Amino acid sequence: MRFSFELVPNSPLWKLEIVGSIAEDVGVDGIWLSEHPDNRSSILTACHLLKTFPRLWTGIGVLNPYMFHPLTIAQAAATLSEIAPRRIYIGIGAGDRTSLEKAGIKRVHPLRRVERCVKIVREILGKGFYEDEEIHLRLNFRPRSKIPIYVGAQGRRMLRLAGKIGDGILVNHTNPDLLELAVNEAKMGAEEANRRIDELDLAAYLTISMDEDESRAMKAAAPYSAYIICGAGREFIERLGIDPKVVEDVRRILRIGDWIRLYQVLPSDYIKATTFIGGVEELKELVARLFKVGYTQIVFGSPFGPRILKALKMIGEVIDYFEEDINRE
Amino acid sequence: MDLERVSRRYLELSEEDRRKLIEDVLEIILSSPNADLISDEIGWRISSKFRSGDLYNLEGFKLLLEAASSCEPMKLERFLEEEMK
Repeated sequence: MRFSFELVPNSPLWKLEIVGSIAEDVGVDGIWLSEHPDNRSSILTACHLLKTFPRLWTGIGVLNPYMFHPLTIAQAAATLSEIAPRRIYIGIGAGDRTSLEKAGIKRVHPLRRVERCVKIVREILGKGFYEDEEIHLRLNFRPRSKIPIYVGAQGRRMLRLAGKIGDGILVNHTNPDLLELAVNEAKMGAEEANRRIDELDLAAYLTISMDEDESRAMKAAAPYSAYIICGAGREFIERLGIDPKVVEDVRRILRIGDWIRLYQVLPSDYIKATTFIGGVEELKELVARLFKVGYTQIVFGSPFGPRILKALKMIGEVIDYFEEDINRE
Repeated sequence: MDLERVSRRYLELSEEDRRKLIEDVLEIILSSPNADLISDEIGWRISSKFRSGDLYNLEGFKLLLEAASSCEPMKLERFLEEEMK
């Protein structure tokens, strides 16, 4: 059972450093850094956090093969392992559709691209080179430790692939029903590769907004919910009963960044279906349910809440509760 | 913001209340989406003091006020008005 935070490098590094320090205090083991092309570089931010916090591991999650060549991913991971052997993880996934479209990139053949990228990165990190009929890739130095590769997944087929090829899976859901279904998909993928699901670190990558005032928590979560909805596949939208017309409206609003309109258009039910809104007791219930169905890592993700310091302390209470539980056992 | 008045008020408070006041101003900064408006120099000084436990004194308080007045001037003003009552 492991706990980690997800930080979005949309704030200055000094602010991420303060949150990192709080992360150490509340007892998380590591920090996942999300990668968005319009934010600070997750790789360079990881470099800073690894140097600053020798007790925390850092994961870069996730890099997509459309914007990052596999050799670049392997090069960055191997370099970071010199600063922090055994404390660097990398996540590889298909990337956020909205962000890729903004950059003029079409997310074509995501399964094939992710599978190939993981294969290439793993071979370069393990053997120092990768070769096939098309490419000859080589690193002139070796990573200082094994670097686990996590696959970021949301849809059924990507979850199966992740179960097949990942050292871990970052399951990009917050809805408890979808998180439960995801375990089954991952299991099937693992079995296809003659592996057991408990050989993998199964991480629930949650979008959290905590506050005593529900309306404030919802307001903080709304932009995150909007990005989740717009980046999701049809299957996800259908399962949650989200009206495709609303998705189109939200997509248009995100393109122009009209946040006030977003709060008017995005129904509160949709925010609650895609993010966690609640307090300490509700979060304890969710975490307990996730451990029971097989998750081995809980990633508490941004925005945390409208009052970050307060929300992080609330998450700390949840972590304490489970750690005391382990000690009792 | 009358820095002298606010500092005087800070010094009148008990140790526990000073700590709470500092955490409240830090919360304004950490929860602000405008942290880029704070100079990096001030930001790094706050982080360094926070990490070493040296933020909870008058100097740290003044540093936080400077940062909060850069990123959330209205919110800080309203907050201090309440605190000064």
